[in-house]
Amino acid sequence: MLDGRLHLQTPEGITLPLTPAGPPKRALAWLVDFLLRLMAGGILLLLISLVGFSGEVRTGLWLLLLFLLLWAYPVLFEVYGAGMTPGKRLVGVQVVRDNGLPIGWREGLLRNLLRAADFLPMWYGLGLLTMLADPQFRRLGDLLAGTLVVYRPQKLKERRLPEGTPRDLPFPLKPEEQHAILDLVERAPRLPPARLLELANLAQPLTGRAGNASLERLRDYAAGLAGQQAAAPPPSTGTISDTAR
Amino acid sequence: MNLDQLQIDARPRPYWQAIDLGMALLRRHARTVYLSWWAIWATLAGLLALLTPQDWLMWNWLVLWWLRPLIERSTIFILSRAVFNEEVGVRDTLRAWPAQLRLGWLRTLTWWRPIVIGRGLWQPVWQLEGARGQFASQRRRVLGARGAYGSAAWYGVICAHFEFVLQFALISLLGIFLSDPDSITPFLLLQDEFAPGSWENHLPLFTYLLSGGIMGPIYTAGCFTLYLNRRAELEGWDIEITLRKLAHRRSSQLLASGKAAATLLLACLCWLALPAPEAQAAPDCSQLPKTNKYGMPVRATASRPASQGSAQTAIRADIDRLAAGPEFSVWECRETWQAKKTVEDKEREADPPPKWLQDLFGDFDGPNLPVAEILKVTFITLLVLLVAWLLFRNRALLGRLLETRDKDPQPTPAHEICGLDIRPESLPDDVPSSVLRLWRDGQRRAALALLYRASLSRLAHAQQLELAAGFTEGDCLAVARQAQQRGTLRAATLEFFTELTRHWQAAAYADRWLDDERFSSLCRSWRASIGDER
Repeated sequence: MLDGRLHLQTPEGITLPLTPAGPPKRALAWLVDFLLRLMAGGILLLLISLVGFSGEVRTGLWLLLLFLLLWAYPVLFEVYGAGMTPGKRLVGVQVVRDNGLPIGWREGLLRNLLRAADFLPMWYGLGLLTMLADPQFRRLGDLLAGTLVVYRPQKLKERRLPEGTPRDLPFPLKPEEQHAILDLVERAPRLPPARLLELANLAQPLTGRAGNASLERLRDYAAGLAGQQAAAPPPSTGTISDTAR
Repeated sequence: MNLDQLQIDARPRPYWQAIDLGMALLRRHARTVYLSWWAIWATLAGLLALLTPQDWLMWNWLVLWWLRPLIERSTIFILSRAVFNEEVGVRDTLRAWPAQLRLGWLRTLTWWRPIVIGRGLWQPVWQLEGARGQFASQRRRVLGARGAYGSAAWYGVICAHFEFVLQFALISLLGIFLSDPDSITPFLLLQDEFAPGSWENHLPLFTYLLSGGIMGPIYTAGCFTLYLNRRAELEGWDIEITLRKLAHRRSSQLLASGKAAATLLLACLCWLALPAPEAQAAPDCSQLPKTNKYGMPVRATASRPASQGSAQTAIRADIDRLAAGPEFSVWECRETWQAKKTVEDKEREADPPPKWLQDLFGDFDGPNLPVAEILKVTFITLLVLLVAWLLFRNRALLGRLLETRDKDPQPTPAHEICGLDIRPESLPDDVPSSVLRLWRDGQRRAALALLYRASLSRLAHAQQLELAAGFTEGDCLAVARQAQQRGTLRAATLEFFTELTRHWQAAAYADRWLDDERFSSLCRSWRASIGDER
């Protein structure tokens, strides 16, 4: 079953799902960073020339500034910004170690030093090829430093389930089946009506009814599963997986 | 379409993650996809290279670019079957390919080609759904809604840039290797015109052949999984799969129980005899208080009906009472101080920039500050501070390095070993007779302990053995042995101490006592072997 996620297990037996981010999003993050650095560099260059140093001092300061923007910018932001440069933050991706822990100086330095190798022969040609070839979209720097670029977990939106009379399930259901019922009721407004009835008919072994009556019954089960009170329904539980934007 | 066979997780996911999933799907079937892509792609490129007149060689790659939507259909053909667990080979694909072009080819090759960047999302509508005319445009509208088309289009733009990067990288690589060893430049081949007839004229077609051959299937696969994700989201595929599994599980359960007909009958009777669940559900939900006395919502465990009778109801009530108590609804108010803007601050903000700044900005040639001098002094100061700080920080380490050997010549012996006080002043004057007296009184443990203690004390103080407070009997013995090997302890003393230690350990830990005869001889030899060593 292709899922696009990595399931890491902690010693406590907890599974952490990480979703490695593919080349398009990473390229966007790089572009944002590039533009930011360009702007910052431009402004600082202007300031330096405004102050009016003599020629050699100015050249020295420019070179220093260039060095900092090229090499210190990604390292510092990634180490102190929870693995996110401003571009990555904007795009919603994050650098972590391949065991899910936050990165430190070692990882931040290594993966950004190897940019020089990824840049070869021109404009990240090698980095792009390795990213396309690697199952977890790692470029050379990531491979060496043992890091991954993953999507930042999105906040779950609180959604209201439609109201229903809480009702007990007729027989025990597995967790994923309970999730499916909650999902169905929650996504019902966005599903085409005919398709909704089809799905409700599929649930006939559970509800014992067909069509709209079955749907009504599913709503009641969902209300019961979500621990809804008859009068004022609280927001749904956090079990619904992240849906499309 | 058999959803049970679906090879990808149908859960709705953000569009970009769905696009990334395309790469995983492609990786699994890379061989077939790339072989069939290249079979068509390379043939076309070869024909183009042969047939284009010399003057147009720079532009013939555009034909390849223009025809790409047709080749993408081979990839869609393979992946759409692979995703439902049906393997197709390269030969099948190539044979089936012409039939895949039936619908929508005119549109994709004419006015759509330059403007519709997210075409990958809509190709399956013609090719897989077989939609045409009004219905097809309706399908496209639905599939592209909620930002899906936007994602596909952006993906197309990004893929185009990736292709450009690969082309550029290839040209640079060739440039590096072909340029003069004395002046290596990656930009050697980056020019518009080459001599007519030279191989460089084929570079645009060649690089596009490679980059399109790499990125083409990737773009198609990403858009295809985006299409699948969109359909799964619109049609609730994940829900359908789970509900079908549930129905299957339920029917097999019922079948298993149906074999024992009598049991089933009995169960039915019992079930009928029990009150129906609906009757329980309604009443106890409405009666729950919505908030506790702190004004916080009650997390009602009892909102689901207690189906197991009064015991469970009682437990639930207990839990609710505990959860409503002050331990579980703690909130605290904290007051902190925060600086607010004083009048001075506000005034300062409104002030014009200070004089020195105006001076600096006043003329562009600058006042010729001695910047280098200032920086030099600053850096030297910083360096000195850093060194001083490092020295201060590691002072313990440095102190240990500088320490001299003769600083503490006489380590003070420990006062106590194994819980025994070994200071000489704690011992009686005449050790053997006190020991014997204790022994005769029947206090055998005290007697032996005193003897051992006195021996240790002599070893530590008269013989200068370095006994530390944490030593065990074995440790003391080892130290004594070392001293004997160094020659600072007599062999007789060591022998006596070894024997005494053995007796002491046997008595103290194993409760095995030596007889009177043996003990008094031990006492007698004490003075000769250890006691007189003052």
